[in-house]
Parts: sequence; C-alpha cells; structure tokens
Amino acid sequence: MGRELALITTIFKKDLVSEFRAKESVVTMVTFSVLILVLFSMAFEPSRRTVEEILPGLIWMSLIFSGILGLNRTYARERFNDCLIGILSTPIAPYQIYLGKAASNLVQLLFVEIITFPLYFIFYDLNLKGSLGILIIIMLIGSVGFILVGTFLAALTSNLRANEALLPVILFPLLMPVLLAAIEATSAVFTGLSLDQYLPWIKLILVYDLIFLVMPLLLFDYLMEVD
Amino acid sequence: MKLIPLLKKILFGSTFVSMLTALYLVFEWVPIERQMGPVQKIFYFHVPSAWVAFLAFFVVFVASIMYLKTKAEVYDIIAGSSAQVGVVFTAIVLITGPIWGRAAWGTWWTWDPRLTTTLILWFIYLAYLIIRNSAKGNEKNYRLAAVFGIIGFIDVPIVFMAARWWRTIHPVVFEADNIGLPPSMLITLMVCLLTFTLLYFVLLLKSMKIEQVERKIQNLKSEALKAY
Amino acid sequence: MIEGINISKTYGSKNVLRDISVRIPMGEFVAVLGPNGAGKSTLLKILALISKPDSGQVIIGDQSLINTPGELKRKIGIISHSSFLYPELTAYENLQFFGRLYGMDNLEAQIIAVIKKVGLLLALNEQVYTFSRGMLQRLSIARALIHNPEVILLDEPFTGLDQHGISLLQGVLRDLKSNHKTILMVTHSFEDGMNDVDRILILNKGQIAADFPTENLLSEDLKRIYHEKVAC
Repeated sequence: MGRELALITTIFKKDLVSEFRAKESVVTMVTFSVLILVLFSMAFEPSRRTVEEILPGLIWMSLIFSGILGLNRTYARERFNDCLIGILSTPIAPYQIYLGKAASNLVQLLFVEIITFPLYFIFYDLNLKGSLGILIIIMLIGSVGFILVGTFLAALTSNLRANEALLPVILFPLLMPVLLAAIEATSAVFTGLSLDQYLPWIKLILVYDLIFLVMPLLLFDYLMEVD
Repeated sequence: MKLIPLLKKILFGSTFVSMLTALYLVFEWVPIERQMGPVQKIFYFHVPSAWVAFLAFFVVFVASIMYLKTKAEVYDIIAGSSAQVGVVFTAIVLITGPIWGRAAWGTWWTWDPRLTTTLILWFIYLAYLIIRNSAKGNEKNYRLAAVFGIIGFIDVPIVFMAARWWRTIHPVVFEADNIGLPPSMLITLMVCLLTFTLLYFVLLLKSMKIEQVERKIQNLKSEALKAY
Repeated sequence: MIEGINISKTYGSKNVLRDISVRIPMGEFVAVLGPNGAGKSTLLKILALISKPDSGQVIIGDQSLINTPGELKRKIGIISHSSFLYPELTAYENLQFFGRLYGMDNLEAQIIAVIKKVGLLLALNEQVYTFSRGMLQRLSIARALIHNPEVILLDEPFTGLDQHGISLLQGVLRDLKSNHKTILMVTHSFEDGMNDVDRILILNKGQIAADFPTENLLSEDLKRIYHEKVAC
C-alpha cells in the first residue's frame, strides 16, 4: 500500500513540478478563465437580480473551458520525448499513473479557482446568502468529478489525431450530470436555500465522483496499452 | 453452415411482413385520437425509435466489453455498427419528439427529462463514432472506442437522474405522460415495437456487412500496395 | 538472460510477429536487423514487457523464481532514440523520478554514481531543455541504467547521433558487455555498434530469417546475407 502510494505521488509531484516550472497551462488557464469572466460580464451586462441566476452557470462553464486547456497538456507532455514509454517500462501500474495525473490536474484547477473566485465576487458585486463552507465543498467535489472524467478522457484523446479539438466534444456530454448538479447546488448556496433543498445534488455529485473513480481504475489499462 | 443464411432470410422476411402490418395498423386500423388528431400517430414511431436507440446502445456497451475481453474483431464491428444504427434512431426520436410536442403542447422543445437525456445520449454516441472514425484501420482506436462505449453507457442513467431532478426542482411546465392507452392503441404500439426491433437487427446486419467489406477492401489495398 | 518463447502478435489482420523464439544468455550481445515493418520494435516492446504478445511468454533472469511483471521490469533498462526525459526537470529530478518509479532505495547515492559515469556531474541541477544533444544522450543512458538492470534493450539507439555520440554509445556498450550484461539491440545500421555484437538475428516479415554468430564475419558477408534473406 505504502509503495503504491509512493508511485502515485511520484507521478503527481513530477507533473506539478514540471507544470509550475513551465507555467504553460496554469498561467493560460487563469488568464483564460478571467477573460471569460470579463467578456461575459460585457456580453450580458447582468443586473443585480439576474446575476444570481446566471453566475453559477458562468463560474462552472469558465472553469470547465479553462480546465480543458490543462487537461490537453497532461499527456502532450508525456508524448514529447516518448516519456510515456519510459514510464511504462518501469514497474508502475497504469491506474497509478492515472491517479497521480488526476491529483495533479485537480491541484492545478483548484489553484485557478482560488485565484478567479474572489474576482467573481468583485466583478459581479455578489453577496453570498448561503454558507461559504458548503460552497467550497461543492466547488471541491464538483471539480473532482470534472477532473476524474477529464483526466481519463484526455488519455483517450491523446492517442488520436486532432485530439485538442476532440476532447471537449467527447468530454462535455459525459460531464452533463456533474455540471448540472454543481451549477444547481452552487446556485442554491448563492440564493441561500436550506441545505435539504439541494442535498440531492450534492449526493448526485458524490455518486458521479465515485463512479468515475472506479470506471477509470477498471479501464485505464486499455488506454495505456502499447502496440 | 446453411443455418445462418436461412435465419437471415427469416429475419428479413418477418421484418417485411411485420412492417406492412405495422403500417396498416397505424394508418388504417387504429382510430384517430380525439384530442390531438392524426399527429398522434407520430407516437407509434417515436416510442419504438427510442426503444431501439436504447437497445442499440446497450448492444454497444456489451459488445465493447466483449471486445476488450477477447480482442475479437467481430465485437468491435458489432459495437460500431450498433452505434451507427442507434445514432440514427436517436435522431429520429429527436426529430419526431419536437413535432409531437409542437402539436401537443404548442412548443417545439421542452427540457423534459427523457428528451434531455436523449439529446445527451445522441451527443455521447456521436462522440463515440467520431473516436471510432478518427483513424480507420488502426486497431488501437477500436480499443479506445470500446472504452468510450462502456463509459458512455454508464453515464446514461446518471444523466437521466440529473435531468429528472433538474425538472422537479424547476417548475414542471408540461405533464408529458398519457398513461392508460386504449387496447387498440396498445396493440398497434406493440406491433410497432416488434417491427422496429426486427428492423434494428436487419440494419445492424447490413451495417456490419458494409464494415466487413470495407475492411476487406482496405486489406486488399494494402496488400496490393506492398507489391510496389 | 532474456528469453521470448513462441511470441506472436497481430494488429487486426496483420501478423507482425509469427511464433518467434529468441534466447539471449547472460553476457551476450545480440543485434536484431531487419527492414522497416519487420516487427523489430514490436519484438523489443514485448521483451521489455511494455506490450503484451497475443501468445507466447517472456522469461527474464532466473526462471525458477516466480516474478511479478513489476519485479521483472526492474531487471530491464531501455535505451532508445527518444530520450524519455522531461525538459522542464533537471537532470537530477529526471533520474530521481525514474529511480522512484523503480522503487529504489538509497537513490541519491545511485544518482550521483550514475551521473558521474556519464560525466554530467556539473550539469546535475540544470534543466534538461538547456542540454545539448550529446548531453541529452548521455543523460538518457544514465536514465536507462539508473536501476542497474541485468538486461539492456536498445531501440535504434544510433538514430540521429553524430560521430561523437556514436563513439560514446559504443564505449557504453563495450562497458556493459564487459560487465556481463545481457544486451539486445534493434538497429538498421550494419556498422554502428556492431563491433561488440556476438550474434545477429535477421527479422523479416515477422519471422527470424537468419541467426548467426559474428565471429570472423566480414561486413560484406553480413550485407550479402542480409540481402539474400530479406529480398525473398
């Protein structure tokens, strides 16, 4: 167990170090997500009342769009210099690669969220009616679901031509449940509904997270198979 | 050896007979529904199409698992062909649904859970076909498609659950269901369901045949090119 | 010692390898020659346990021990024409990363030892993207040998190297051989690295077309045999 965890953290650390050193995706992700925020606010000029209705959707859409940029980079880095073959020639199991990469992608996405989130409150002059703690939990479990599926499907598309364009097309339909649930739950916290009114959504997100933690563990071997 | 062609003939024959019967029942026999008029007859195509679509995607799911387990080419061909047929029937559902909705509720589209799920389903299997076609003849891509065929199917119930909760939290504009069909309508529907199911298998076989021939041609071509 | 027994691999309807058996005893250096598409690199990937054969098995080292694939992979090192290195990481971090994946203890001392061997000690903490081609090649050799493998597999290692790089790699191969390592090299060159080869396999259309020792073999003979075996 300890040994397996060590392999996962090895991948995790390697990805984070090379990412934060190259600053390729994190900087792009943050910039892109702030840009979306600014452009949307120009495009819709939301009034105080409508802000609460559209903002949760906007937050999640901008996160997912900028998250895609990072996901596309994850395996591009491994294809360069054929590093993936190097990794696969060591004793590490494919699912350990997956978990390490998912963890690193999650940290990157959370980093983007930490920077952009306060900006939403400033740009849209929002005051949160519900609990901040629950909002943070929703952001966290929603991001986990997105990253678990995203890291898995990015491995799939990295084998294909035109993979960068393909990832959103195959990822978004599968993301629909978690995205919808996260938006609904976020919106409920914004408008200050009581917890039992949106608890089903939180449960749905957790079920989704669990299913898409188990499925990749079962199937990731097939994505890493080398011909 | 003779058995399979014979079964195929029986399948094609019974599809033909059943199709004629279904058409007769729908357009001649079953009475016109009082409230909605002739447009209600869409129901006999819409519901069976939806059933066939789900059946087709279930076949994709099972065949994908079998392909990953056995690596036998035939399962990949079944999965790919079934997905094609499924996407076509999902498209029929998505086209007939709004026509019906326009007549019944006065609006083309509602975010009814079933309609929403069907739409997402259509996107999922379109994505599946894109993956499968993005580099023909490359075995690795069939494996990737199989993985997606499994994970996509697993996603469907969650999509449906999410769509349903979404609609119960928001105000429900339309009651979608008319429960309790009169016997004549029920019989017609059943015959239509049977017909569409048979049609699915006919189309699946045809589609598989096309794929097999395509692969054969591809192999012959690459053999021929090797000679140079 | 590394052995592949009755290995077959097909892609769709193409038979890439047809029932191939190879055995390389400890300390032997074997070169695999063959035209493009003969199945050379597929064979190498199967022997390296990266790719699974459709049938057949691979035995590495003492076969009386029951080993998991993970343990077996620890006995293999791969040197390829690709470096398998991450440009943003330093030389040290790259070696540390792969060392950890091999689950090595006492990693730091090992890294220093292997980096000294390839003469990159001064560049230890430099990011790899600043490296010249020659340095990159030396580091990729260090990467392959970090876990002190028994078996070295080389995949077209001379591709894209200049004269200096070629002689460096030849020196490394000679060194490995004198340390009784088992070596298999996939190549398409008749000259590079051939000096120390004990045995040559010619692979054609997924089968072994010839298998002969290199003792007293002239390079003209090799070319003649190769063309005889491959042309038909």
